[in-house]
Amino acid sequence: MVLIQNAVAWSVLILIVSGVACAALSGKVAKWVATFAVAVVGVMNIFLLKYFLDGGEYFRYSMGHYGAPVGNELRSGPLEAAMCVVFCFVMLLSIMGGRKHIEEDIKGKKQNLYYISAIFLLCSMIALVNTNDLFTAYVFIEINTITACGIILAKEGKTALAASTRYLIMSLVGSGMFLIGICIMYGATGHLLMEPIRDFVAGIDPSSREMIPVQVSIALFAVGMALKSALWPFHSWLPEAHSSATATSSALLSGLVLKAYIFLLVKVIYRVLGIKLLSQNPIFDVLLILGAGAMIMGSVNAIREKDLKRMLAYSSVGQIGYIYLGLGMGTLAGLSAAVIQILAHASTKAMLFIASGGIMDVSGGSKKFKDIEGAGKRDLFAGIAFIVGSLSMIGIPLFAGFATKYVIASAAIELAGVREWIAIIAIVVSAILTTIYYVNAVLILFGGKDNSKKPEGFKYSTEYIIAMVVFIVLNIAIGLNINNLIKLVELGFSMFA
Amino acid sequence: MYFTFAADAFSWIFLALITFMWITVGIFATKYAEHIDHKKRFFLFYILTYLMLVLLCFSASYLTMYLSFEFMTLLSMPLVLHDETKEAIAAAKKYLYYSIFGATLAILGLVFANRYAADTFVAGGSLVSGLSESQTLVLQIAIFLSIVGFGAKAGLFPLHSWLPTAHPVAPAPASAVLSGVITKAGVLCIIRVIYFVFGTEIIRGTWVQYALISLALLTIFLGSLMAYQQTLIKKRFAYSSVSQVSYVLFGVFTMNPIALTGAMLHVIYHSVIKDCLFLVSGAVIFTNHKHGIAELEGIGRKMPITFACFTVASLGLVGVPPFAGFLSKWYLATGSLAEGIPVLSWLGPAVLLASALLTAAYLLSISIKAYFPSREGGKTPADYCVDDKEAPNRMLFSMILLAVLVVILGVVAQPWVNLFIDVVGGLF
Amino acid sequence: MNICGVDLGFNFTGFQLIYTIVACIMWICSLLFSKEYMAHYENKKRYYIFMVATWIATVGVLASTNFLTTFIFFEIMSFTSYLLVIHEETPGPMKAGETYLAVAVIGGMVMLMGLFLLHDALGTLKFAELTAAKEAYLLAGGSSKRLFAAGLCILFGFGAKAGMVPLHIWLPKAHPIAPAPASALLSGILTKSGIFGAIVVSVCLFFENQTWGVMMASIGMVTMFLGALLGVFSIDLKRTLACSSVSQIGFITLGIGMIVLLGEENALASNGTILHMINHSMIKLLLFSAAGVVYMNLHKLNLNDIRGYGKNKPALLVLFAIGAASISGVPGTSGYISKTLLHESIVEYIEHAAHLGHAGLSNLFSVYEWVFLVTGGLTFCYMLKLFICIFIEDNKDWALREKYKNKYCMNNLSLGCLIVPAAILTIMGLTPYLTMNGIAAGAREFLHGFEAEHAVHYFTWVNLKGSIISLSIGAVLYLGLVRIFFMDDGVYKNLWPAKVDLEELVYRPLIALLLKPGIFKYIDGIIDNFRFMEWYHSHHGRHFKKFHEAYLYARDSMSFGLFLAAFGLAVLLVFMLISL
Repeated sequence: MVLIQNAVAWSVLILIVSGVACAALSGKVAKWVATFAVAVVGVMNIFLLKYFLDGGEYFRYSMGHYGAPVGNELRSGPLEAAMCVVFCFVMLLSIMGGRKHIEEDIKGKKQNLYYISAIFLLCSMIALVNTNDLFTAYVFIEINTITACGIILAKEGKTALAASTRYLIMSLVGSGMFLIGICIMYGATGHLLMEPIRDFVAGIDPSSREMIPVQVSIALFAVGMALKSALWPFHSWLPEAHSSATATSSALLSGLVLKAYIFLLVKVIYRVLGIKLLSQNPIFDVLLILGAGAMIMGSVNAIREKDLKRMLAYSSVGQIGYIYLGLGMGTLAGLSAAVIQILAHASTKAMLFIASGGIMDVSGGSKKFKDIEGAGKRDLFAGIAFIVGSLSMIGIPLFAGFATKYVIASAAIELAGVREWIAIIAIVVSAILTTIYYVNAVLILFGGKDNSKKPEGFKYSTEYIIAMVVFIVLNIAIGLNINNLIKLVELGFSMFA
Repeated sequence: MYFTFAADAFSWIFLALITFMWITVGIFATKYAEHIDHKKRFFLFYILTYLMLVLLCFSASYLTMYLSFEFMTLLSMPLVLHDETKEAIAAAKKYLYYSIFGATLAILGLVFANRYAADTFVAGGSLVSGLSESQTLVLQIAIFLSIVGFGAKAGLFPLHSWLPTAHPVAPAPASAVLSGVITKAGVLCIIRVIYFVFGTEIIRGTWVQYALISLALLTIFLGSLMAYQQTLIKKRFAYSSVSQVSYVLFGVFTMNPIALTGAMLHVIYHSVIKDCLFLVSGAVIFTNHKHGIAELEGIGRKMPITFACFTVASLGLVGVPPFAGFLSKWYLATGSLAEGIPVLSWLGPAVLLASALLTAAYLLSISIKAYFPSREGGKTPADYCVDDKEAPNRMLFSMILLAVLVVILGVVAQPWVNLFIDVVGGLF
Repeated sequence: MNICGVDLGFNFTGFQLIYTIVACIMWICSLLFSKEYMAHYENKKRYYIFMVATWIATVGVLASTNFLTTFIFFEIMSFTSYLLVIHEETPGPMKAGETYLAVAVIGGMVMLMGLFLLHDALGTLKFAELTAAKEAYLLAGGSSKRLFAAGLCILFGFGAKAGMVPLHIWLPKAHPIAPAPASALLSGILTKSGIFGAIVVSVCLFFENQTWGVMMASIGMVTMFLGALLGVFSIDLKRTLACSSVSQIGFITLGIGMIVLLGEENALASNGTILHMINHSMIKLLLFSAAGVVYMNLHKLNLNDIRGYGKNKPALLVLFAIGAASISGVPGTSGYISKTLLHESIVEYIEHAAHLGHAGLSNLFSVYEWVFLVTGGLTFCYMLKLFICIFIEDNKDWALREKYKNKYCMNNLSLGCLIVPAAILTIMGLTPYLTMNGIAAGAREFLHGFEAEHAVHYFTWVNLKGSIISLSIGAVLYLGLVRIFFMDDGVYKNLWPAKVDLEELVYRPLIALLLKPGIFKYIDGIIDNFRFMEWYHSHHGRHFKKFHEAYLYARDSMSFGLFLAAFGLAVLLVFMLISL
């Protein structure tokens, strides 16, 4: 076993330990411990990814050397490693970029609690990405839910309380569905590890009655994850959660939390069901339609908003719709497209939210359109980042968003019949709607005359500048390197089953 | 997905046109800029747009062309936005929405091109053969929508109405290049899509071609009719552009070597003429602060050279020989009749001529009013436009250059015709 | 020679040479006359420049050998002559110029459409090749309807310039209002450029085509009659002459029709046509110059004002009389020759048609023959009216009468310019067999004319009869109609109702109707109108606002969120149940 393969378990472990440590430390120290831990985990995962790119095979990591079916397993491959890298770095940049807001919004003594939540959030996401066992997945889903709730709640106030309560309720319904799905699956197959389940399912005759429990449990998994990842019409908790959270929390929520669930869903489907049986399960038609609906309704609602963060929240709803559109296609191309969109959207949305934090800073803490006029000129980094993010979302070539749109559209034209029409129409309509509200926002941010005076005592923090610049570079890098990204995802899927 | 660049005959032709017009209008703009704020910003985006157009000319794949197209839209928007009045902001928004909506439609073409055709442009198209019926239908719809999408930049109905809104609010040099050159970028994209990516086989003789030609004819007529109704100078010219660029598109959609030659000729003629007209309007605004057509009565006496250029350009646009503009109509009509599409074959030339009549009505009436103001009530020409002056020399230079070019291109036309026949021949 | 991307072709032989010479004569005379006439006008330089430009363009038209060359110079000619019409720049000329330009441009465009269609069908536009190409086209199964449509379009354009009904509306307004030398050219030679085109179309494409021939003849009939009628009613000197032009164009058009109808027996028609063209050019040059002399001295054109002006001016009287007699077809003048030839061609066709069994056509042309004679009478009538008014009667105003006794009216150069056309007319009239037959022979090839089987004797009783009938009708009409109805206590009045003006009644309203934006305005903004959001927000009624607030409140509440989720789950469940 190669040394780097331990990185999988070590990532989780390091994060748990530092999380616990933060509980005992004061806010100032916890800050650096958390940042350091995330950075270290990120670097480890980069090496892991390099290992795979150099020709490493996927591997299973049995905890405590207990094999299947008794023991617990982590499994890693290029795709998982790439996911982990992205998650770590987006979290790092989000924390750095939103540091100022964390220090302002959260009461002094409770700052270390925020970092605890963030660390455990990352921990659970990495575990979700790497897990090979259904029940472990459930455990970490719950941890994910609770810590996400924590980071929303951190900024005190009654809106935050209401928002996180809403989130909790809807999220737990989703977790509940997932749990029921596990029960049914366990009852039908007798296994909890994914490979044994797959072998069992492969042995069932697809048209017999024995397949029905499997199909139903997959459907429940899908619905559960849809509830938790804000697929329309299950999205209503998202805008509230965003508008009352601090900048970093919004970035993490929209960028990472939602994605982790979707990735888990992709993994379960691909590994348990296999691509051949995918197209037979009707749940995917539903996901396709709901995805299309999300793309359109998300944008329609975003156009109506006069509040920057709520607009970005509805934009997230729309972009999640893209991912589910890719998922719902039921083809390998669709799944690849969905994963690419996950990677791209994570970095773009986080950037947009951190930028919105900066914008709020120079607009007296308000996020309403009438107050943020000209904010782009006052805080140039936020302004440029917002432009880059908008162009990416609209789908201008050179930026990340165009690449993903292109890949999804390419996957869409491979479909047949009505589904092709639904997909294409949804893509085209949502693209124009997206343009409308982003262009509007950018013009407001850079519009107005004579209000480029910064408020008193405003200065950039170094971390903020670094975070913004790296975000922008990352976005353009993804946009330019889409070929490599596609190759990576293909490689990952080849080792994913 | 790679970005590729290459040069072919069309690249050079369009590049030459764009560069020449940019320089001529640029000379005009250096003088006009005395009345604009934020000069540096204006010229920055002026040059950036030019660079994007150069990129577009040299694009060798659909993706590269799409990239240049989007960036050209983004970089030319600040030119529209320049004055930052409420109307300018609204007009820039409208420009952006329409253009990006068009680009979104064009993405369909991109995706289908990468699936069914070669990676780079091939003269005559490179579509794979053996498509099933349903595939062909979907492909045809995608091609139709892509062309309509690129047509937003070229002012094709239904995505044309940004032009009349954006022109009055942009500074005159910006209007000139927007109307004269950037619309041609849209035309180039359409030519590439039809003749270099998908080939004409799949759409010739089908509903797609009929629909496209109908749209072009509708735009030609609509543009001319609406131009006649306008009372603002720049808005009238904007609608005129909408109409004239559709002449070019009509030739492109007819898919006949003769018609395409006519289209290319009209690309050159219209750019020169329209830029001259917009420079005239710019000179009038700069020197005498007049925006409405009614205010131009009698101004021919005070601005004789300017309006001489205007008259020459107008006669060219109407299609009066020996000025540039007659020959392109001739080739367009001959090509259309030769193609033999039912009804549209002769309806096309009829609409062209009806539009020419309307052009005469809305342009020559300005010229006549300018030189021969009404003497009713005992007024003499000296009573009109008392405080007006002739435009400054630098502006006159640009206008005279273009007007002289109109005459030269009109008279010495055969070399151009031969050039375009050669170039076009390679596509069929 | 290749200009404008088109191969220009010129030919200076036969008909084209003859007419180029005529054009040059006319221009030289007009230009020289302009020296005195335009002495007190402004913008003289502009006038001379555009006179010369129109000269060049007209020669270009008359000498062209393919339709593209014709078109190019035709358009140039239209625009340069516009500047002559509007020379004085007062509202009258501007309005007349507007009509002139509109008709010219519309005509030009329709002609271009015809050229497109013709080129598409035949593949060539060279006059020499047209007939052969037409034969080949029809043989190969081409549609004769298409050819006819092309021909009509081309005829529209040329006919508009010539002044054929119903496109004559600009002539009575534009010719009088231009300076007199320019009027002479407009009437005398520019109209002939239109006729030129009409001739080419008719003889190259539709030779012996009965439909076309009857159409041309009918147009000619209507034009000649209407023109003459308008002339009788008019009380303005130059307007009368302009209406006379319309009428004479009608004669020429009739001639073209007869050339086509008579086919190989069209000797009379072809001779008559060319000779009448030349006659009319010269006559109009003379008469308009004379009118110019009147205007130059008096600055008035109304018959009541210029009455008796010519009483003491013998030179003017003789010159005017020569012109008037020629146009009326008095035996001994050149006009008599050409009119007789045309008349005889009608008679010949009546027999010809009867021979071939077309009884209907034969009867029709019998009627036409009578219209011809009556029109001749009307011509004599209005010429008599003018002559008597200017040279015989006395002016009502005693002061003017004194003034008019002055002998001097023009300097010697101008006198020379009037003598030239008069001399030409007289010589031609007195030596028809020598001069006129010679000219007719030269033009024959172009007109697809054929030699007469036997020579024509111009002064036989049969031929004289027609002329005398016309003259008598004219005299009767003058004495009866004009002196009684059109003169009120010695004052000339215009009985033509002002409202009955084809342009005002029909054309302008029609065009105004066509130019209304109507549905197009809606179509133009069709995408702009997709603004639900604004409509949505603009409904700010009180009840709606309360409802809207409540709606927003409900929409953001958690119960609504749960409701949406439940709805989604329900849909899902139903879908699963159906498909599993």
